[in-house]
Amino acid sequence: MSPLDWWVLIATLLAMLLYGLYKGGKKTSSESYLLADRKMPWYIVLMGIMATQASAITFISAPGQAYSDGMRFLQYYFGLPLAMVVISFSLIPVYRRLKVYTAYEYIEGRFDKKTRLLTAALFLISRGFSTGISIYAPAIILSSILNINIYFANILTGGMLLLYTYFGGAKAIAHTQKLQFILILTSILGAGCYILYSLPPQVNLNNTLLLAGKLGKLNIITTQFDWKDKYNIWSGLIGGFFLALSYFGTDQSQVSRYMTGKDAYNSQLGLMMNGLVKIPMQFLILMMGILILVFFTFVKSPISFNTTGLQHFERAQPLVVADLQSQYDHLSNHQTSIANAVLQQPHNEILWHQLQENKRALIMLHDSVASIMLQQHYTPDKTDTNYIFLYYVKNYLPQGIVGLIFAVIILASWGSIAAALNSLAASSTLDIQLYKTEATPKKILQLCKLHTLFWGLLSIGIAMFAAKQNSLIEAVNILGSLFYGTILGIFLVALYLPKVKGGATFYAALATEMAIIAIYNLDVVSFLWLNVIGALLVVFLSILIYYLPRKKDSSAIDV
Amino acid sequence: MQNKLENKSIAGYWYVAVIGFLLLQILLFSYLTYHFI
Repeated sequence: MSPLDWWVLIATLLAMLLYGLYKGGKKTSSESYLLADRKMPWYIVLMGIMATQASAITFISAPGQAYSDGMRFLQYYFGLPLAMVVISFSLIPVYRRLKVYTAYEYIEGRFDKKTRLLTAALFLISRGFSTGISIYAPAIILSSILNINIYFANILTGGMLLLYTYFGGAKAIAHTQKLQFILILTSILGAGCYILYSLPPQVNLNNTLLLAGKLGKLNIITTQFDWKDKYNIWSGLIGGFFLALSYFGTDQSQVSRYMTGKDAYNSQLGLMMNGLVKIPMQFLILMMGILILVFFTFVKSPISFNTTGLQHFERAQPLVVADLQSQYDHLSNHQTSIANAVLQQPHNEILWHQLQENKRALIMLHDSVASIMLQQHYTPDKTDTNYIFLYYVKNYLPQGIVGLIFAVIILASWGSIAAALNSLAASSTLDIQLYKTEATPKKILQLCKLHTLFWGLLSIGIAMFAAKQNSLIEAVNILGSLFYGTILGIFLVALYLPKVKGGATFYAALATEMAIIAIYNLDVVSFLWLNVIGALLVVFLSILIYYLPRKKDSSAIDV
Repeated sequence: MQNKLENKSIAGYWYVAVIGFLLLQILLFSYLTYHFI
């Protein structure tokens, strides 16, 4: 990176840090620290919700996923809009009426203390781990650019945001998320326009879509049903609906965002607007991957986008890498010439077939290099999916913009981690530590600050040992899906089955969690379905446990 | 005005708007998927 990029990166991060500390102000009550005095208008609620969901992982992984697997990942969000309306008209009125700090307080009022403890514990485990992974994601970027130790990078990304999260609480988070989201949106649009502008003159938007479509990457809608298929319209609509219902309705990191709304109207409007803009925004992010794919059809790409791993491979086996690179270059040159020819004769099916065959050969070579690098320990990553977007940004965007994009990626991460730490602190303080005792607002504030510090340090610790997965975005989603179904099930029983009591729900939730972990280990369904199975199993088992003994009682009376 | 969305009768309009917009998007995405194959 150029010195200008460094200045832009450092200045943006420092400005955000100071802005957060300034906006956070002095906190005097727990309501101010956890819910920003419940004074936020709907558009700040909306930006907070979106900034909390869009982490650095979204930017790093999603364009790479579109590049290698196509656009079908978009279907994952299809269930979200409907879930937003359901939450707005079922859960928000309940949360607002009860004036709760955490979603799990409602569970205690409806059931009992032990069910609240269990629900909060499930949230703390899943959110605690996924926050660790969210710190790890931008740390990879920093360590590869700055050439610094990954552990130090983890502390840097987790440490800086901890400052304003610790001192400023929810108010600092809401205001920084507003700025972060504006920067994120501007950068996505700017980067997308630049990639389109940098394509060869003969490639217009129509040609871009045609090339992506013929190469099988414009697979936005896939209708084939398969339990083990991760992304198709059925898992997206049904599994995605349940996941969104659970994530936005019962995950404290999101609940605390819309509970900062100044009234129910502002909370609801913020959430429903999210339902309207989420899919178009995700579409734009994925389209960047498609544009990069078309760009590298005309410009030679490296044999692996993971340049650090490739350097290790090259140092150890220079002749092997040179041979593989020359094969790859040959196929790449061929790809460019066929692509140029096919654009002049778009109805020539033979040329399209040649392009597809050549692309298949390129992918095979690329994948074999990735597996050699993994097997011989030049990199711990199974693929270079997470490096594709960063490689493009680093090598092809203009000076100054590179620094800004990297800053935006780190800020996106700050937005979601800050919200997560604040919500983890709220839940562990109020749902776990203070569940038996009363405390003054001043004491609660002190405890919340201490818990924020604790979760910040723990998440950095988890980031240090984060196991590297095939794709980071999937790792976070899979982790969430192991617990979200059960949590949602508890809330569904609470809302819609008024006769079922705490004991039945508690044991149904415990049994369901064990069943979900077993199903995940058996690997019989894709992770999105785990949400559906988990939620429905809690509902079914709680009814079963609640009504079975009652039937025996009534038969006893009859006798 | 403040709590007008708490009124359940408003919910129906939002369901229609959100589902309608989702269907429109799915239609557009289907066009992109099947037109450019």
